[in-house]
Amino acid sequence: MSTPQSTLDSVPEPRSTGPMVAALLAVPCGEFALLLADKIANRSKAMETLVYGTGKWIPGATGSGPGGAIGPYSGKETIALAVWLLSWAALHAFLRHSSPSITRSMRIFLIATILITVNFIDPVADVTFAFVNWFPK
Amino acid sequence: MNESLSPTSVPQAAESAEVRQLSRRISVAQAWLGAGLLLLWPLFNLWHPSNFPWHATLHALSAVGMVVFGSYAGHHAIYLMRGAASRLPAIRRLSLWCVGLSALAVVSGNWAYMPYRGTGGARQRLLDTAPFFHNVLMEFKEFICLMPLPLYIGAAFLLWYYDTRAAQDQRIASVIGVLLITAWAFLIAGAIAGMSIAKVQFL
Repeated sequence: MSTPQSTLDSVPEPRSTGPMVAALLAVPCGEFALLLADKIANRSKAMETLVYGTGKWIPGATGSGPGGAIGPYSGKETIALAVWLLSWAALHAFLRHSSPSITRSMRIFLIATILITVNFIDPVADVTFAFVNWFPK
Repeated sequence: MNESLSPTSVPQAAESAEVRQLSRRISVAQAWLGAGLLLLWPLFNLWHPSNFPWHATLHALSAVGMVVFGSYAGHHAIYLMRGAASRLPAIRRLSLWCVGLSALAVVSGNWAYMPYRGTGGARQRLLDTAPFFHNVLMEFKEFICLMPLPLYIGAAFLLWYYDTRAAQDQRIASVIGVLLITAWAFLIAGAIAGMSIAKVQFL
């Protein structure tokens, strides 16, 4: 028969919140990389070629005719995927034994996600990402 | 005065049990009817006058599946964030479905995007007739529709990593809830944008 003490013993030790924060904040990192890759690729043909080059491993990335091709979007997907996974791995390794504030992390996550998402609306990004025009063509 | 619905006699009790059984059957039939009708919507892509009916059908099926499973997961997530740890088993199952469906939606989205950009494709027709739908709506949709996948993977990872602790630590439950609700917001926004574009030009 279980006693109150044995019930207490069965409750697992609390773990650090670092892995939660890592899983949470890696997503806006990847989303921001996606946004930046899009804006940089739109800046010039050379930049677009650079971004496109990273995505040519995806089946259908190249092609022509009515069947078409994914095109430079494949590179943007690749960059976002790589940044998301790398930032998640790095944040997880860095934070796994620490316990950052969950409330603050969730606020950062929500604000960053909203701000980045709004910038996917082109008329908004034309203003906020005007700085890409400083990049050489 | 007794206002409860509890039966007062044996025949009444028997009839109440029958009515309950019939009500349950009607509820189940309603759910299946709803699911069947909802599935017809993407399946009608097969009869579109297009050279790419399978591309459109597979993408639409995965997208509608995501709306259903993602909304159900988001519904449970609201209760989870309010402390109902009993929702975790359902959320565990739904998260895995959502990971699979969102991966399929991204892959089939790439597949549909190819003829969309192809010679004489929907992009060209939109730019000629209704440029807003490509320049703003499609440019927005093609990016935000990628977001549910990492969010669902993050939620599924935390459910696996923290295992039973998720039921005892409200912080873990809240983070999983936020991930699921954010994924739902992205997928609904993407679905609305996608359906709006497909109403103007299909593949």
